[in-house]
Amino acid sequence: MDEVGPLALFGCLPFIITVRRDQAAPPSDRVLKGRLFPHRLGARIDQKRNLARILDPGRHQAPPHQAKMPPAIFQDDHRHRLSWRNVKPWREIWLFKIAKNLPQGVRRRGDHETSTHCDVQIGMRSVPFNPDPPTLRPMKATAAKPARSEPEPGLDDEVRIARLRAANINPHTGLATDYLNHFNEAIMLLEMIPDIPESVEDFLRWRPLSYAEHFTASHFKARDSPSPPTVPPTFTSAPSSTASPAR
Amino acid sequence: MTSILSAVGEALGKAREDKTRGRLAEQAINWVKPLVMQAGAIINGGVESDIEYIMSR
Repeated sequence: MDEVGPLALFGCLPFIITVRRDQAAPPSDRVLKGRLFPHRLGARIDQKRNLARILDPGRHQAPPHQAKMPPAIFQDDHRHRLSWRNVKPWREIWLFKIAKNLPQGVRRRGDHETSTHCDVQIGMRSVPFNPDPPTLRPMKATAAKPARSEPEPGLDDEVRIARLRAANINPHTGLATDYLNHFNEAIMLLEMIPDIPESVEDFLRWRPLSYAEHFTASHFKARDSPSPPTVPPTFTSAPSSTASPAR
Repeated sequence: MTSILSAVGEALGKAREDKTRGRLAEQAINWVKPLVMQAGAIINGGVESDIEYIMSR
């Protein structure tokens, strides 16, 4: 057992610890591995490298805040950056925002056409159109018998239709879906009741309005015109008698 | 729509339980929403109440 073998000679050499994961190589090997530029990979996140090394932060300090122009200013012509088509116009933010966020309200006509430019919008944001208050004629239309609005003198039909569509007034019926905002407000209040029981009081303060009453109470410019919009027969079922409190 | 909302408002005023009010409100929503859609169809001159039909025009 204690017999000395031929390999015992190597046991006289000092014990050499191998280089493991977190251990540095021996100084003689560092020079060979690092060659002439030991830190040639450059600065890291927490180590800013300057020649003078005067303004450099410490190891765990943030680098000095240096004024630098955002790349978007110098590279504003990059075709993959934000452009006008990325800006999606949204509806006005007001009391009926929740009700207006119905699926059909944000639907667009084309993939590259914003909802603002859509011809037909049944979103509940339509506003009656008032091209020229002094010469404005009443909107004549009936729900049971759709009829075109009376053309204004000297105004081309195409222009008139385009203007009506731009104002979210249907050119065939002459009616505006803005009236439905009043009912969407009631729906919105009803939707709040299961979660917020106190909102019942808000719903009880809601009052039904007829088509004419709605636009009279709104900020429609033509509401003060001598001839108010014609009330369609279908919507006259909300007479002043129903304007009583909802409760 | 006006009649439904008026009746619902009257019933909500009489109900005292929050659960009852909540269920009534949910029922009223289911009654009124289709009517609003139909009214939108009428305003836009459509003969159908399908909202897809209206939006495709």
